[in-house]
Amino acid sequence: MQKFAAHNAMYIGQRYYTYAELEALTLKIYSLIPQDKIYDRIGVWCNSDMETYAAILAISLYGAAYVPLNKDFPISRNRKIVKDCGLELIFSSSENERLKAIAGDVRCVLSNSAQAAESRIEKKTDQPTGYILFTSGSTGDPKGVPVSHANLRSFFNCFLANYDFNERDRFLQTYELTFDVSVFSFFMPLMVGACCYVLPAEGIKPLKIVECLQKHAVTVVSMVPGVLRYLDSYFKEISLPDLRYSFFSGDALYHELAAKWSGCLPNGVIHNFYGPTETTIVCTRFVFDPQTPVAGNGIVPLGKPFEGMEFIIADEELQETDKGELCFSGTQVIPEYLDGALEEKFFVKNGKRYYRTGDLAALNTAGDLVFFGRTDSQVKVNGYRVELAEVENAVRKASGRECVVLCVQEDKLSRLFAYTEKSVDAEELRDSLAAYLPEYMIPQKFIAVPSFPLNANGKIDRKALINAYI
Amino acid sequence: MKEHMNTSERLQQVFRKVFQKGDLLISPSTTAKDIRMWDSLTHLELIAAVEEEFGIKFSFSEVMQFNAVGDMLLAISRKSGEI
Repeated sequence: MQKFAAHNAMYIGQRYYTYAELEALTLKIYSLIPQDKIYDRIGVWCNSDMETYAAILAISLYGAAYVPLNKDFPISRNRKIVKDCGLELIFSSSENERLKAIAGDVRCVLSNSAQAAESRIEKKTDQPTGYILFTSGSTGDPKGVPVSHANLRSFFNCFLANYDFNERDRFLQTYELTFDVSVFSFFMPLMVGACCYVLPAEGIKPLKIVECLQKHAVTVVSMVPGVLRYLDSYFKEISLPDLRYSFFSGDALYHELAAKWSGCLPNGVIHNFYGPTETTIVCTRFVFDPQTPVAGNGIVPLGKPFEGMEFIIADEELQETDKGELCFSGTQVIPEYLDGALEEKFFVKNGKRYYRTGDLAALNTAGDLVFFGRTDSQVKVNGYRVELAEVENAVRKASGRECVVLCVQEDKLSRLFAYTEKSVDAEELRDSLAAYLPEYMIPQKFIAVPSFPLNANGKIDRKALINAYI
Repeated sequence: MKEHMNTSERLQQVFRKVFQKGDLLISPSTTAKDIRMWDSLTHLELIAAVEEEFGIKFSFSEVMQFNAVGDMLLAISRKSGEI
């Protein structure tokens, strides 16, 4: 940080913080970590302020894994995260009832408390995990994904080797801190002496993104493809001459929208990335060219794996095939889920340990991976991973009704519709579901059906449900 | 019925339809924070519904200024030639 001391490191809450200020705040928060014992995992109550980001840095420099807690998530979900991670310490920049409700006996430290700062940071623990995030789980509960320092080194080395990011760059951080691409958007600019602009938490996100890109002459941004679906009617009115790199990940990127977006970027390139949380943020890359022919399914290819990563496309017996489940091995694959759960998602083949993504893929003639959907009922809603089974379990629990939840494409946007066998009071049910699910997992519509259509195997015919009731 | 409603009342009807809440009340100071389902997904639906109701088309710079219902009312009035 000293090399860039006078440079702006961050812009958040309508003010700049230099690298010297960021360092001073990080040292202060570091000195607030109690010295009674060594903490291997420390929670961060995520507010959109400088103290929250500095707490993440302080925890990382201390050597512990940080566990972000989303203040908008239901109390029950955050409680589970605190319990599963065995957290004994949580940093927060504000005192509030929701934090008190999840913390119980866990020690909460205010990151803006008065405290003389340490003059230097010493790594206090050498445990291997950098952070732990939780993703939607098919069993009805979120699952913990610990990402190691070794995974992160491999990930960042790939970007440092392939991109010319520098101290003049201005990155836009568009993600919640519980979304793993935030790790790229926050740490990458700091590694090269650039400035990280944090998107304000309020307002309609896609509009705020464009506003910030224009206002701050942002040069590097990563966002979910859903933002483009939103801007579809307005591309002709948008011009972003300062934007050098426009990165996408988290969902299928459609060629048609990417080509229109490229028209807004006279000096920029579009790169499409892919990777589940379990392979450390993203692990494949495709450099988009609007002139290349559109693939059959209209989706921009996922590209080729990062250095240190290998893949196979496997059938149900895990034998290699042309079109099947995409499985990764290599330096970015997490060692295991929290507490060694879901070991069935990993397998060893030819001496290499592979992670099963659940994504269907094949190679095109250029040798790029192409996405074809899922092998299970996981869907993406605005970039968020959602296991439909988790939503269905919550609806059943809250309403006592049998329920099928489907992801429906409407107006080029993904929405969750819940079909129930008897009608429900949608408003009341939404309130109840808020106790179990984050907002993005709560169905937009509740549709009562007289009975669920069945397929030849006697299972609920999900496609027929959409066709009959949309 | 519709011809007897003023702009605010017509806009309120649009909000009620989009957010599927028959008793929803809006005022010029209402923002996305005040309506639980008013997020980026429903905002798009809301804009389309408002454009259809009033027979107008908003520009991107106008849409970017919609921080509260009052901003929307002002833009509708401007577009409709009321001010």
